[in-house]
Amino acid sequence: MNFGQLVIVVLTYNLLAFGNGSALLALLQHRLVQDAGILNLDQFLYAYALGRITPGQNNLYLASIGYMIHGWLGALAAVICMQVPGYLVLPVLKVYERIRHDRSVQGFVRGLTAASVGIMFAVGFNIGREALIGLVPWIVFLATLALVFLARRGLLVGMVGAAALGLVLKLGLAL
Amino acid sequence: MVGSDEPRPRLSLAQLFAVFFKAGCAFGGGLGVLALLQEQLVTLRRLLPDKELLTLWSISRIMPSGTMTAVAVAVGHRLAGFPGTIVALVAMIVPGFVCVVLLTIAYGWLAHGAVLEVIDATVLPAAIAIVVISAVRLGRPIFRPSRDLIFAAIACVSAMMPSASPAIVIFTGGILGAFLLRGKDEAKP
Repeated sequence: MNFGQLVIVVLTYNLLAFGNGSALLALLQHRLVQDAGILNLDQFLYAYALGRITPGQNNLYLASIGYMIHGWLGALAAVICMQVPGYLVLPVLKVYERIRHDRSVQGFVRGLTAASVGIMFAVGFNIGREALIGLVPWIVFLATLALVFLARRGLLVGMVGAAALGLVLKLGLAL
Repeated sequence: MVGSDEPRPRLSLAQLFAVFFKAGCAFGGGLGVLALLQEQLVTLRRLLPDKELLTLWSISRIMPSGTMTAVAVAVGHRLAGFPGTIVALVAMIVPGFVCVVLLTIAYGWLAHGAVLEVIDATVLPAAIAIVVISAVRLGRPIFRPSRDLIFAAIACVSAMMPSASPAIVIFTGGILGAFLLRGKDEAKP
């Protein structure tokens, strides 16, 4: 796959998937692993795992795929192609600001917002169902909630503190 | 501002970079980043009300791009104009980008080792907690008996189904809201 093809694939698939990470993953897996054999399944899954365990957006796994295919330039191109469609939000917000006093538009945004809150809980539940298996992950999960809600620590402090506790427990259990 | 006639707050590009860089250091994917943004922009700096950030996030969810990408563009533009969009995007991406590429370079050593397993048991559970915290904080305006709460509950159950597309669930919520939530029973913060 040459550099231009990489750019076109990431850009069009990102648009087609409408920001849905799972749909994008399925499209890329089909194109890069099944059809063209550019990456093997291990490489592809490793890239995806990196997106989950590193900071920032999950779809940064595209940088890993870009790097595997075309080095630093491929990683940069993949990330830029991932970001560019985000600019479509500016004209949408401009239109929204003009019509936001309309009662139907207000209802639309209220419905959108309420559904978004529901989605957040669903995402937490769906990831939690896969990842909260065993004692240590549950302790880390609850410790993060306790540090943020009860001890009133910042999110980063809560997260790093609880993860460090998990590491100590994990190493302690391994000994 | 979205949903408000108040004057727009401004932020220097350096401050904007700092805010988004910090948010980009959050684990837990887009919702982790959103939680940090909420803490920085709403709680600590009081630059945006909760409701506005939630509205921006909701509109961004139906954009054909990563949700947080659209949020960064929208917030960057509101707080520092067009240059703000670039600064916000770059700052938010740099921490994750560097980590992802360095770990890709180390593929040969790490792919079959125990490091990923340790991260799964330590960092991921903390990230899930951040996602829950984000949902609780941003959902505050909705948590009272209201039609909005019913919408949120139905969306939550729908999105738990394996084949559900979050973008479609949210868009459907919007369409139904245009008919059922127009001017009635508004949930207040």
